[in-house]
Amino acid sequence: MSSAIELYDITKVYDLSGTAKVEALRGVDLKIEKGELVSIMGPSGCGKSTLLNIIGGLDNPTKGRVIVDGINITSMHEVKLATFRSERVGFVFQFFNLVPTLTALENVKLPMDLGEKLPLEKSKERATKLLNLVRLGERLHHMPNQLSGGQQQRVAIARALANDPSIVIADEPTGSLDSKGGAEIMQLIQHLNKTMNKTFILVTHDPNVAKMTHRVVHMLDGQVLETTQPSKGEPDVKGALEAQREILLAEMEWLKKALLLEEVRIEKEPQAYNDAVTEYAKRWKQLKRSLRDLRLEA
Amino acid sequence: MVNYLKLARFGFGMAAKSVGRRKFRAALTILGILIGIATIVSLISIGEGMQYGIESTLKELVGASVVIRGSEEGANVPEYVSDYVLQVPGVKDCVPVVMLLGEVGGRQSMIIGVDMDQAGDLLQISILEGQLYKAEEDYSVVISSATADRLDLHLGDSIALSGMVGGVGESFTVVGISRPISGFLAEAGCFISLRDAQSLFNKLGLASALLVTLENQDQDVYVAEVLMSAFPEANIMTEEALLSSVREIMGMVNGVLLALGSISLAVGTIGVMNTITMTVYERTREIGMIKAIGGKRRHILSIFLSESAIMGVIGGFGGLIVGIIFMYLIQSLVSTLGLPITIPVVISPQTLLIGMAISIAIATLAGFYPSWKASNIPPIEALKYE
Repeated sequence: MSSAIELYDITKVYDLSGTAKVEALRGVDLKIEKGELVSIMGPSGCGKSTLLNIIGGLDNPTKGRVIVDGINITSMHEVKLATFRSERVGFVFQFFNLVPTLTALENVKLPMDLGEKLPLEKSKERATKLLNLVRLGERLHHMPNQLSGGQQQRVAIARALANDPSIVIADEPTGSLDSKGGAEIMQLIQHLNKTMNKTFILVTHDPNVAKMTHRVVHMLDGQVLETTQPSKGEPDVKGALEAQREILLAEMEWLKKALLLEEVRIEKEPQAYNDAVTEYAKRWKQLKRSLRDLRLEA
Repeated sequence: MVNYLKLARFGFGMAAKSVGRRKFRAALTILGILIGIATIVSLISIGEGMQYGIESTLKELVGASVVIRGSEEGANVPEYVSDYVLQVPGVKDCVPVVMLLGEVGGRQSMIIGVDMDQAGDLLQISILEGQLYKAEEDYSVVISSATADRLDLHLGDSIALSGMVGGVGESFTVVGISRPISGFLAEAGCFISLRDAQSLFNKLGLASALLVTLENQDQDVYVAEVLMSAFPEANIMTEEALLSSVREIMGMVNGVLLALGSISLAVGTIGVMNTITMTVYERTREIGMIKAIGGKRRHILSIFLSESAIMGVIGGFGGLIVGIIFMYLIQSLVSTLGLPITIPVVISPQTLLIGMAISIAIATLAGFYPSWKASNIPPIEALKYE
């Protein structure tokens, strides 16, 4: 079985206003097999979204080699990348990003109308099938604002499958859903992954989501820390817990440093400083709670 | 190979849904275009109508080849001059005419004093009822059917004519009712004998103009020159020169009207650009999503350009209709104000075509820049846009 995704020594550097440079990715090597369901976890700013964008052909790496579905897209031109995305990759976003003026059916048709694969006449039929597949067959003609968050995300998943891609990429697909809605989406993704044999890669903050995937890639500071397999027995779960603990601790470390940096703003922007401190305190509490949960689980 | 038919269907479909399902916003943009187009169409048409009116009035009233007027405004050409004019070789006839603003049945109107036996060839007056008066019939008047309808007058009724606005009128008997003169003086304009007109305006022995007809039309310039040397103090013009001077003035009037129309159109354009820019900003994430899932620049452009073109077509069409309604309103306003003129509504196909073309062109141009900008935003940036 050949790999769906091969990443070799991927580096991504963002040039911010000439002087400041941010290294979002620092030599990432990763292989994902066809039909795998993989989640990427890590604290904010660890480079997981950047990695996802590079896999999905939304961005080029500064250095390294990206082979997706057997195609080298490392330095592919923008226009060719658009065709590549249209034909090989399905996208699911945190905020669904459905077109508000289109019905569910029209939203699912959209990628087919953009692509060159299907004639316009066939697309309606296929879109209907896909919406049936995500159990929205009775809401074909609803507008997005007439659907719940979970339903909207199911429409988005149907849309991602429109052009029969080999890979589906999802950036926090459950991030704006409640836990029940999130679980439903994850079950749907598991089901589609199993029945359609498509490769799914999702970025998530939620350990419960990560648990439902074959493999978890843990990232920190632009590097892959380790990969774990949560669904395969006890030792792996423990390993995953340990990794999550490390990630939580790392983020707490990072928060401390960030708070120190924020102090520069005390005098000039006291309000902004206070807001930031409140924000950090909130996250800190969340992290501590997660740590405690982890300890209980262990 | 780009499938342009599919692209056009895609763009148009997306745009039509966007316009149809965001009605309020679309309606505001369309209103902006509509007002601009309505203003420009009605202003152009008013200009054209005025020009057409003045020209056809002149042509109908002044069938003469050469017109002799006094050096100043008013009736001040001695009537006897016509005796001399008649002796100029090539002159067929010379008809003295009084044409002054008076009051007919309580409304300001042009009163034309001319003897019909002389003016038969010159004035194409089509009588609907009754007949033309004879030279010896005093206090007889031919009124237009419009005046007759307004005052509910019939043959044999009497009507008051006055040489002064607000003056005490003299009673005339209606002997004929004519088809309204086309053009400017549609409702107004009544005909009485030269003698009656001279006494009504207190201009005995004088005429507003002498209308000269020729044996041979081609001699107009030559005859005009002969007359000019004979009567250096008079104002002598050939019909052609008269018409072209009118056209010149109307050209200036049209220019001013067009400038006014352009201002309103410019305001409309900025409005359209504003709305489309706002729409594009509002939909940055949507654009990012479309690009992320494989949409290319042409897809984004096709959506937004179709959208502005659709609004241009609707706005243009509405603008034409409202513009035409505008013109009829202005026309009826002029007649209710009792002004002695009528502005004919001239709706030429060119005006409609130009109005429509301007509307579509402006909407599309206004939409182009924001659409182009939108199509250039990298998908990652656009997706992050809040």
